[in-house]
Amino acid sequence: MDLGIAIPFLTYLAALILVGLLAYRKTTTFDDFYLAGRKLGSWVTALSAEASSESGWLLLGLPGQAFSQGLGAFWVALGCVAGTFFNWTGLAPRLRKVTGLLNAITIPDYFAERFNDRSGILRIISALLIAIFMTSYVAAQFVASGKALGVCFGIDYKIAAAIGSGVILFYTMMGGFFAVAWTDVIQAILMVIALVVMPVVGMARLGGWDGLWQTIACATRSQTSFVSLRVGKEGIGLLTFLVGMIGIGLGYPGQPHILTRFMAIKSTSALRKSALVGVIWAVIALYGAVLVGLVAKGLLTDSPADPERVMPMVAVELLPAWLAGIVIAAIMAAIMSTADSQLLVVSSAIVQDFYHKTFKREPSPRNLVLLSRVVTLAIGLMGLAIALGVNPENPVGVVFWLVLYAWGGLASSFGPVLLLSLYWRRTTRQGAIAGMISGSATVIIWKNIGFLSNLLYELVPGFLVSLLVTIVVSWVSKPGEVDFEGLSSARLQARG
Amino acid sequence: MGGSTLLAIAIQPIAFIVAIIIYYLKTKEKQH
Repeated sequence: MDLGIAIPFLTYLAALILVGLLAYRKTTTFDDFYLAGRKLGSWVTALSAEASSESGWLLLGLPGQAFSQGLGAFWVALGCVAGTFFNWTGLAPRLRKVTGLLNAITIPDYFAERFNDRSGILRIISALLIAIFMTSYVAAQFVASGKALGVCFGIDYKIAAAIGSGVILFYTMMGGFFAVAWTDVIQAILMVIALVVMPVVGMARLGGWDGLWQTIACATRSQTSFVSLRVGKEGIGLLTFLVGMIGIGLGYPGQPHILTRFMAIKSTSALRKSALVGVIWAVIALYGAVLVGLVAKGLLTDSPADPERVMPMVAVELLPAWLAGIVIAAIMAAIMSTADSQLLVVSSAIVQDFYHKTFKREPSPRNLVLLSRVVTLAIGLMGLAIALGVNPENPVGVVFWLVLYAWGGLASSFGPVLLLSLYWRRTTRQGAIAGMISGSATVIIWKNIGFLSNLLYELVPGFLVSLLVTIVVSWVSKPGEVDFEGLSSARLQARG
Repeated sequence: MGGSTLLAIAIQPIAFIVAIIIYYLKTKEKQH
């Protein structure tokens, strides 16, 4: 093990544990554990939302895509930044205001209150979708942490997965949302440092901007599509490619682990600064990640078998050991900042939506926090058990297969219904249920039909079907008993 | 790489940053 790389990395892990212990003292109520008592400031909200929304995919997957596909990867960055921009400027202010009025702690909580869901069906469906999609997502992040740590430090995959997930579990269980949000800040800063340093140092090594393009042009002489934004496609092929790549951005409004950040900020007015910080962070990080892949193409003479390893490979080759240690910490940060947020979302779905609301249990506030910690630990151990069951030689197994659905599945289940529920008062409970079921079903069916799956990323049809079904069913069903705007005004008046 | 390709790439991040700064300033006006 190279000590130069290990020291910055171990310092980072120690910082996370310290944050977990500090946050433990601040976490006394149920609201604290799952929403930090709605007391987050602008910067913490911005960086926490960004670090949570971009997983290991940002530092491993996107550079890998740019490395193998070329300039076409810029379209993914465009879609993702557009989705982030819409989330901050369009969705977040309204969601914070409405969930604050309805006193909703989770996304199923919001749906249940918004649609006056006395039967509990809407709450159960949305909590189930979260539990299914998110648990596999958490497990996949644990697999990724084992893979990354194992490769970087030459330790056994299972030990590496246990260390990575053990640290995540410790601070999430101890400090709840406070710990997750504060560690997200550290993680977001590390990620953005890595994504600025790597392209800058890489381009300097290659002789600047011109040197980069000349080296790439030489390296890709037999692959002309690499240096074209059209990626060698024409007509319908080009159109479906662009819609699929940019369409990834449609996923942002439907991710509960991102949406809870908007719900936790101290006020809607504080969101303004968060939007500014969040969007600038996303621009730097996403375009930086694409540049890392292009720089790697210019620097690496041998193509790795797994293009997703180009970032750690270039870091070790290009940077001094201590800086490479920071980049490796940043890769782990990307994985951990997503896993911890998802862990909390699944835990809240079980404790708040099933135990507390569906089964009508009313334990003392102290016991509720204790239960939340136990459930968080149990879900984490379940995720770890799945991760340990994966063959380390072939980690792209069942878990990653499920993850492919997770982003698209959550986006199609919740995105259209959430947007319509916030902006169209005629949306009904029946429309919401039909939209969630049809959206998730479309993603699963589309993905399993080879021809369709190759034609277009399943999120786009899933999102459109859910949107259409929610609108049509809402039109034909009876409007809900509760007028949403009326309810809001009444509560406002009641609060004086 | 052609100048138009470079322009198409460079304009994307710049446009987003300009747009969010405009949003920030506009909402500030509204609050006052």
